[in-house]
Amino acid sequence: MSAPVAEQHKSEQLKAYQTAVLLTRSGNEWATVCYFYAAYRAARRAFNLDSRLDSDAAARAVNPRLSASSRHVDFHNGHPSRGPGVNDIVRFLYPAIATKYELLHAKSVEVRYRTGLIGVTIEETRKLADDIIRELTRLGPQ
Amino acid sequence: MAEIIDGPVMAEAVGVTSAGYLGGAETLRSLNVVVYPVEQRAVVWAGLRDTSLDAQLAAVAAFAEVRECYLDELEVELRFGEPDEPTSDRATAKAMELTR
Repeated sequence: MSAPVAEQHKSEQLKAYQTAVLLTRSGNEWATVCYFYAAYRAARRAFNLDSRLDSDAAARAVNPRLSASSRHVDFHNGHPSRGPGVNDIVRFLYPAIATKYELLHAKSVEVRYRTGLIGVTIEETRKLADDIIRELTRLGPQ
Repeated sequence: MAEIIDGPVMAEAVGVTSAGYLGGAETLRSLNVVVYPVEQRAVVWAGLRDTSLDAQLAAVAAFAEVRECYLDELEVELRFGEPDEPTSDRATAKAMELTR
């Protein structure tokens, strides 16, 4: 566990969220990308502070695919050659918000690489981010 | 080194699995699977009949089971809508046929 790293994630989370709010006010769908990155930073912060990732044994007790090094994973999707990604680790450690997290990731991909959000509004993606961040904050040390 | 997977065979398998977990023709207007054999990666494109937030959350939750099925073989990603890139050099399954 590293408090400076956790603080860095918190700082980046707040910056991403503030940018998202500004973009939301102008109706810009890139707000969703920033909401996702705020949630991503909140997840990385939670990993950093989660005592279940303090050792390989503790991590494997949660899921055999987790290890202490899962704390440092920075890619989104798991892959056979490199193990679980952030999306998977969120699912293993925080199942209550995993579906919302994965959907928010998918929505950010739609904005970044495609023609925009399908079927949901910017405000709905904000609500996803709020739910995720609230739950991750509630679970972890402050 | 991992053996390179058979793209068309894997696309069909992932399509059948995905169609099953995502609810078949009742919930899907279309389902396409693009497999990238060298990268050990597949993208499942789900065209949902109901694109509301709740329906998309349900699809994501169900898709976690698909990902588990191919854990040791592929990175499997769910996207909504239709493929928007040329797919001629990849193995593609047009999976409405797979929901029969």
